[in-house]
Amino acid sequence: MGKSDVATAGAADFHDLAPALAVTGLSKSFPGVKALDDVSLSVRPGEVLALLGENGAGKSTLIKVLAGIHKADSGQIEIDGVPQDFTNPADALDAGIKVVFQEIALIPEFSVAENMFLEDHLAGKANLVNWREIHRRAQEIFDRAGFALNTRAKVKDLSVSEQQLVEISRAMARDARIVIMDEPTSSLTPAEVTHLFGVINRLRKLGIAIVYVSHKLEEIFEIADTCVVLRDGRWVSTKPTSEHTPASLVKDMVGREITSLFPHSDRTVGREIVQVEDLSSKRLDDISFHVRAGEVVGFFGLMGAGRTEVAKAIVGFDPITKGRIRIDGEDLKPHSTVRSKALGIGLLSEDRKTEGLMLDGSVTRNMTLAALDQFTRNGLMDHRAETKQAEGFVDRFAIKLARLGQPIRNLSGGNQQKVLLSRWLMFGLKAVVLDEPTRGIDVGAKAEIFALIDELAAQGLAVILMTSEMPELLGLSDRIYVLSEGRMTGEFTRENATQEEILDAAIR
Amino acid sequence: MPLSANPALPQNMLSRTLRKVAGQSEIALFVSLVLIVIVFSSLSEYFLTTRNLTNVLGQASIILLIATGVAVALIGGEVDISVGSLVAAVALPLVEIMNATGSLSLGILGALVLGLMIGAINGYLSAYLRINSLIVTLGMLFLIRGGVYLWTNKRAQADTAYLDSFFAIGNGKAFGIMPIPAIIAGVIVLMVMFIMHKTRFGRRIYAAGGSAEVARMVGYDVRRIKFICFLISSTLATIAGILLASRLGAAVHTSGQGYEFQAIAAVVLGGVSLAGGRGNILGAALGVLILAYLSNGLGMINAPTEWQLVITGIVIVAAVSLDSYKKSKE
Repeated sequence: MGKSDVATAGAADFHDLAPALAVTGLSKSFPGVKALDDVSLSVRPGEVLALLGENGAGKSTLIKVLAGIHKADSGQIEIDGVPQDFTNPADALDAGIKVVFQEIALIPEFSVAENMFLEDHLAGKANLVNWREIHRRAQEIFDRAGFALNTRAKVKDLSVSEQQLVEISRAMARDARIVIMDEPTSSLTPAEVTHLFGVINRLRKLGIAIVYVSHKLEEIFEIADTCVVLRDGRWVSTKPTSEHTPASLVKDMVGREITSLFPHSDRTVGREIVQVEDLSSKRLDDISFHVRAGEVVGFFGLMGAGRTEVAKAIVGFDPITKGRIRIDGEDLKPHSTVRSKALGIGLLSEDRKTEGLMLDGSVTRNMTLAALDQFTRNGLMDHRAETKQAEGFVDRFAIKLARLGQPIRNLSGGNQQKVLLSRWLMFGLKAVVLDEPTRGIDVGAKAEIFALIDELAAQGLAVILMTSEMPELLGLSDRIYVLSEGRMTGEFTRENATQEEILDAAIR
Repeated sequence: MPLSANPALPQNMLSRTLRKVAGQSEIALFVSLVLIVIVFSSLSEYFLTTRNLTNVLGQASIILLIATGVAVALIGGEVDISVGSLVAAVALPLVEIMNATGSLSLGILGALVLGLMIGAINGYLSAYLRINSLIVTLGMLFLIRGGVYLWTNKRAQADTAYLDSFFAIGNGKAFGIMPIPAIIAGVIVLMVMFIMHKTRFGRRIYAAGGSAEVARMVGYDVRRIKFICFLISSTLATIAGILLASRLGAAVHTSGQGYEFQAIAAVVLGGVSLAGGRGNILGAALGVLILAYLSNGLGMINAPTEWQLVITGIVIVAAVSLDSYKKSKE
């Protein structure tokens, strides 16, 4: 695959090549917001360009314009010097732009291989699907990329990280000229990230231009040749990565220096709020732990270690086979979310979109969902009190929105997460489980979420933090539990926790 | 990281070939069908006769055609319940044109034109104007039935052309045993099965129903796909309507009532998901046959009609519950 004229271009000499993709003066407005304002950038064959920026910086809009989902108000997109006019996603694909979105865009009921060849099903004469060839080509791509995927597995049975590999394979199957990756590593294990970088390096050797969107600075420094930073819809800087330091990048992104990413206030640790003994379920084996009021307890584990399973079990969402869960001394029986909510423990799901938010509901409705009783007088809703309370939280957490009545769908990930946190604070929980609270959220907003988590603990909540991000784990947790294959393999205090020992426990 | 390039082991070959033809649930459906036949054969001496078994196929062919169309729509993520009334409606141009011209072909053409028009309206409103298809086709169900009553003044329109060919398509038997409608329905079902599994368009229907959002991202014209699903559904129902009119020898204004739900019941029993994107035509066809032989067998042992309804209801709910219980265990 790859186009022959650029196939020989190595990673080093792309500087001499003409841009594969050039964007000039792109602007795009939505009602009330100028999402993109005169943005220009170009990426050459074999170059990895990192696109950086905070919430609402315009990255998503830019990607959607390049994917043919949105139409720009003004400006030009050129591929290999030819001006493009995308009216729909198919046009962008045909022109050679493949976007690997963060929200997995695969058909769950289809096999891995079929998903990779969705565009044409390799159909030949009479539009017949060539199943044999689909599986053969898919396997060929996996062999080349080193992916351990079964072409016949149904996508719905795969983990998020495996699904992401399928998405990337799909770009390879399309012979894409320009691959745009939107936070591709947000749910990959360290080993899978290394793999992905291997794949990216292979793609760049084939002369493919890569636009890489990520909030993990260490990744940027490892993989990107060039950094383009956007802020508030405007272009801020374009520099070779070698001229950047983490601090300079963050400064460009937020327009100020972030002093402490992980605030850790002095907190009084109180009684044990969450007590779990010998918890077992389909994928968990004899897990015991406790969390005190005012404590942030981190759970670490690689993909499939059982973090999400623990989270869902202790809030009564998933069934358990054995064990005892007590919230503030009361047994979680019957094992249901109704009971767990009554006892005062809530979960912020890793999957905000499907398990947390009512996407078409207003910000207010989403925020007050758990606390409706507080706004009910004689069985009737007191909308004024509801709005007032919601406004209070919007101010307190600096949630960026146009109006309270707007659908939450239109808020950025960080702001959506703040609304969800507000929901549980408003309800008055004793314990909260946060499953990957910063997944898909960028640096500036992350710092705010971290501050929020610290505040939750300072207010006396027991906070359980499930995370696969080591800095987050070490920076926020008072104590750390490590899971591996559904078992508990380590416990550390904030003082004696080291990255090496935690990783060691995670692979035990 | 290990590669999963496992070459097909010899012992896998058989099961893989089996799986290619039918999934696990289709095998389970087939076994259920065989069980029903065995049970009723032991209860009634008249059940297990070539004559009875083929007769049931002939009767079931009408629901089979409708159910196949409904299954296509459901797989594409849409519902079409207008088909019950459509069956009665298309018989009108069929019979009237035949009576006027003496030509079966022109009559069939007239029926197809009306059927496609109804399908196009359903499809336009549901796929292009994005009105919920349950509502659109529910409205259409009433609208067409009312239209048929108005047109016929609530009287059956008899076929007065007496064409042998028209009589044969609904009542004839090939080789003296196999009802022609069963052959017509069988061939059409096989064609639809082929389209759904083997052609690119069929897979696009699955994709549109499985995740319209993803399908759109991939560059499919989802609206067009769904629109065509309605055309397929109404075309198959039109053919069913033609066969039914032939059996009845007239365009009967009340014909086809409740067929839409019989079809949906059979299709769901056959493993097609109401949520779209899941299930297949083979399963749907087996669902139709199971319900047909069940009702025939109950009739053979003189079970009252009331009980036939009750038992059919229990079978559908039990089968679907069992299926979702199994899935939740996985």
